[in-house]
Amino acid sequence: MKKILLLSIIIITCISCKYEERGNLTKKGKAIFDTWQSGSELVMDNVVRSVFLVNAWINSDSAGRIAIEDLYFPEMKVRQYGTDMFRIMDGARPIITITTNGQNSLGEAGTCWEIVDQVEYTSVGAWMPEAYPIFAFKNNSKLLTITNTGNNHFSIVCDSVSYLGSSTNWELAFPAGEIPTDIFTSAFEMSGDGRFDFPASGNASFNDGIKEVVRLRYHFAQPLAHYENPESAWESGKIELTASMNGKEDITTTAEFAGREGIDITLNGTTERWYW
Amino acid sequence: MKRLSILICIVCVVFVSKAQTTEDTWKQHSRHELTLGFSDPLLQSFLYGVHWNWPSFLWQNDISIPENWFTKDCYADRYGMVPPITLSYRYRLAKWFWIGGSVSYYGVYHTYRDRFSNEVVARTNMNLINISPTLHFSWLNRKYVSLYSGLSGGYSYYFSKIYSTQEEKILPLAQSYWNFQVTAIGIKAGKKWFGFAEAGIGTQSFITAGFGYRFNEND
Repeated sequence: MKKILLLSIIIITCISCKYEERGNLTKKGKAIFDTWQSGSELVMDNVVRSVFLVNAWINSDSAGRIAIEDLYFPEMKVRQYGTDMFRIMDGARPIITITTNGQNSLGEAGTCWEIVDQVEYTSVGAWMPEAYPIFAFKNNSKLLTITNTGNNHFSIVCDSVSYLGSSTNWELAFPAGEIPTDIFTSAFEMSGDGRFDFPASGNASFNDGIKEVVRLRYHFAQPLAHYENPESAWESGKIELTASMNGKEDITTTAEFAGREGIDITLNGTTERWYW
Repeated sequence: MKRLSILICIVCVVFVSKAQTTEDTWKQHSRHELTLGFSDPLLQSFLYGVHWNWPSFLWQNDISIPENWFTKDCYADRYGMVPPITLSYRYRLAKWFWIGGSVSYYGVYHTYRDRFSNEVVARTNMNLINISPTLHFSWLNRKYVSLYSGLSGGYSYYFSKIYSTQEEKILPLAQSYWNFQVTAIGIKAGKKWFGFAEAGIGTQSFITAGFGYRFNEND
């Protein structure tokens, strides 16, 4: 009797299994990179790309304009207001407003356009991870300036117009020749730096004021080279990312693009490749 | 629930009294019974959140949320589990009717490690103890086999230690609940030593199986 009891207890208490693998050591670094990527894609995809498309629209004849709208804005229209204001409209709702300051071609050196993103993001799930970069710019609108600095180089600056202080200070360098219609299908290099600020989820809402802010600072240690083929965005380049929260310790990680294979993330001296 | 329990009791009593065809020499049978049973933890998990995989929703950090970048990045290395183990004692008042009590225990244990250093950060556990008086109705009694149903209801005590990555410390938690167990059908086979299996519903389990020992005072 005693033996059976003892044996049963031993057998039962030995039900012990591996629950979770240790996994990648750079998981946190990858999470930081992913956040940078979604934030920068938001600026690049929603705003910068649209501005170049609008530039092509402005400088096309009526047939060309229709073709650009059909291809790139099938559910929207580009409309001109006055001499130097252009809007991408979704029905009667403005999405992006571009003020060209009387210089209607981005291809001319010295041209400086001001862009306001007028999409209201307040209805986006407030604390979903994807929404963080959006909130980084939340202030009803965000203002960027795109300036042709010569030699097919463009500076893209968004300077702390939001509650929080997110900013971009990028330079896009296109090969010599005409500037592209769609930057997605263009080879170019991007350099510069910037930061994204995120409210900690403990905050009730923006209206209540931001109490805790996570700041993600970054700079391109090596310029990012964009593929001509849009299937994967960046061919090479290196980003140094530093995250901090209200004076808490900084976390620094490095992300280096490894072509179409993936991204090499370095955290605490350990480098791992994350495959796409 | 109370009404349902009473109804089941009445049905069992009526059925059992009819099933006992003879006022045979039941007092010759052993009147004491001690059992040890092992159960599935499914229902307990649902009712009390004592999940074998509870770290996935109670503990783990979602590091895709920026503020969580500053907490420890840990992983649940191993878990150990003791499925519900029940020790029961029953006393036979009539050939078909037993009263008794049971104590059961269910526990889940985890070890957490820092993902980077791989050092153990915390060892945590979740435990549930049920104490219940029981009623058993043996509605078919043969020499080596008997079929039965049963009822029990009592008190559960739940206590745990959960690791909080936000606070970087172990948080204790203790609660108590009422519990119940309805055994729809059970079978016992054997003589002095016997095996049993039963199916039912309640805080203990759906399925329980184990072994037991019958004895008399003068054994």
